[in-house]
Amino acid sequence: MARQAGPMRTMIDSARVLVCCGSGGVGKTTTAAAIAVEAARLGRRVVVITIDPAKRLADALGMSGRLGNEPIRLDLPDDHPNDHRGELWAMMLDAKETFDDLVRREARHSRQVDDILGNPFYVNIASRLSGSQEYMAAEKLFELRDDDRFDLVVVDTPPSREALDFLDAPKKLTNFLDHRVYRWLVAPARGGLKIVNFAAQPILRTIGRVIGADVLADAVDFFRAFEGIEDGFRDRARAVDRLLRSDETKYLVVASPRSDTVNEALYFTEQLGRAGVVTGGLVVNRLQPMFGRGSAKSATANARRAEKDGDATLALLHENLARLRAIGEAEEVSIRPLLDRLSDVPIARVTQRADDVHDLQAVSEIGTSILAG
Amino acid sequence: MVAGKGGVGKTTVTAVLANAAANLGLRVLVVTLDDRPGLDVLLGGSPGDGASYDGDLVSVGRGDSGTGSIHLRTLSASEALQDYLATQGLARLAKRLVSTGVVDVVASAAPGIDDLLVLGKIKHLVGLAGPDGPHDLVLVDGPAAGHALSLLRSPANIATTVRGGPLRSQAIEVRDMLRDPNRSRLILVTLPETTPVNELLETMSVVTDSNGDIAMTLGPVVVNGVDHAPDVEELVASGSAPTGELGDAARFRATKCAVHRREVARLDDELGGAVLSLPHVARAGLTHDDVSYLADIAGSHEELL
Repeated sequence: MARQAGPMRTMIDSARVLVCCGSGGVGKTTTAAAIAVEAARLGRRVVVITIDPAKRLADALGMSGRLGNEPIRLDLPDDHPNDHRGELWAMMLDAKETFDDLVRREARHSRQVDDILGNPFYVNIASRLSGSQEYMAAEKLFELRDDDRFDLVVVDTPPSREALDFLDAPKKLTNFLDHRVYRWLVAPARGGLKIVNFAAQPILRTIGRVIGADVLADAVDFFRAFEGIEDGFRDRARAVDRLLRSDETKYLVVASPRSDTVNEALYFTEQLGRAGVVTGGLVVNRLQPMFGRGSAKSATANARRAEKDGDATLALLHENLARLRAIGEAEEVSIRPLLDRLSDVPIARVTQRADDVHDLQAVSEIGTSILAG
Repeated sequence: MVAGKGGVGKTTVTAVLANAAANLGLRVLVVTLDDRPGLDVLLGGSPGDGASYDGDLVSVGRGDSGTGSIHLRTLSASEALQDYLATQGLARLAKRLVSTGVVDVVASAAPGIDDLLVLGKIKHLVGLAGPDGPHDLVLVDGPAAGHALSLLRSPANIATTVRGGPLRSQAIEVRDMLRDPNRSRLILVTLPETTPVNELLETMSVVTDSNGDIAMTLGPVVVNGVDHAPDVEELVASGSAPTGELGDAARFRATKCAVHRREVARLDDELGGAVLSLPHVARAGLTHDDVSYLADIAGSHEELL
């Protein structure tokens, strides 16, 4: 079937990196996986970076219990004889492990690696500092972008209300590691002193009293161990930042037809624009199917008529149709502002299934309907 | 505290429960941790009233007792932090501590410190009287599930990382409040579909584990958006649904209702009945009338509340 590629397909064809962003609960992970499956079937060598996929999705893709911080190759659904058959790879982001790898790569000697990785303050930063997960998703994306095995990297972003959490993550982390506080905390060590003199710094003394002096001492040790590799970190973060803002990285906003998630998607779009990044496309998930072209109102009128005629079954059928159309119409009203805002980008509408089945076939159908747009 | 994954209608459920409780005669304080424009209206305030989310009275209960009321307040991490620094005698330094990044370093040295301070502030609000008397119930519209877990873990985490001082005492007090079933309950919200129910059951086992970091007691589990149409299901089962859009719509609805029934039953089995089902309202942007209707349904399950 040699049909001309639609705008969504064209957009995704032109991407080396596709970032799926949106608020929690809109089906972002499923969307990322579905696009990856379809793009692989169309001949791309795709790797999808997932963040905490639901067990059912992991099962559907055959990756349950196998996913870690390194990509593994998955089987494609094989019922399409005309497929161009690319490759499908998937991995589940482990922010801490990615951070550890980065430290190992940038450190100057193995003792420095041990000092950093063994420090309790480092463990906190790597696993819990706000923005760490976002930055490590970006870092992984950068790494895989340069991996010859793949020609498309699809990224599911951590749930957030702020699109900038992801885009700003490289800058935020380097600012943190490069901060004045850090220099200030480490300064006495540069002067040749072995121990930071807390008593000499009234603020440190106060903070030490509130959170405990040993906790603060760990922080100082960490910054000291980190000395000398900030430059490497900074260069790397700059390169990651460039990739996030380059033309080959496309951003796909994912939403569902509820007024709150639509508002969040609008906010995301606005934030992307403010960061100088263009929204490449929109996926609206979980739309209820429309049954015919008529309105809820006409179905209600038909129900009344059937009632008058004494046909209870027909009245019930029309009543039911009216209810479902009312939901569909309400969804259209909810998503209208988003469709208007993004009228110049490709938009895919994904209808929900009534049966709640979530196997590879279902995921693959979602991918097909997105790329057909 | 009301918690649930994004998109399950957590804020709606908070509004429904607040209205149900006010109708039972309770003085309710709703605390939101995000700016939720429109929450005041869902709670029964008039649009354009310009509730400042600062503890204002938004509405009164419809119950016979005439004592029920709802107040509304937003609580942010930065407000909680500023307040805390002030109580530690650092009010004048607060701005500088934030701008120089000292606060970032401290927050990373003792992760969860901001979460703990938010919970500490909530604990403070529980003890505080509103303009019309002490609150009977503080209902927190919690963050989305992932963050809710780290929020609820923060007291235990801080109590372990910080080995002394005022922060540690704060952590222990908050942890004790959360673990006391007479003072705190966690209300989990989900949708009647497979993945949300699976995720709820996972979350449930984490939060209620008595050896875990959280060890809270659950309130009712709320299933939001449950569709129920036995007449349509029967019609489809009897084979009287025609081909075409009328029949397609009937089959779609019947299949969906069957999924919802199955998932609610699965939760009921796991939870021994402590499940509150709220019917699906066929409207995209809910109004206060919808919330009132749902609150009456919730109120009719007084044993669960």
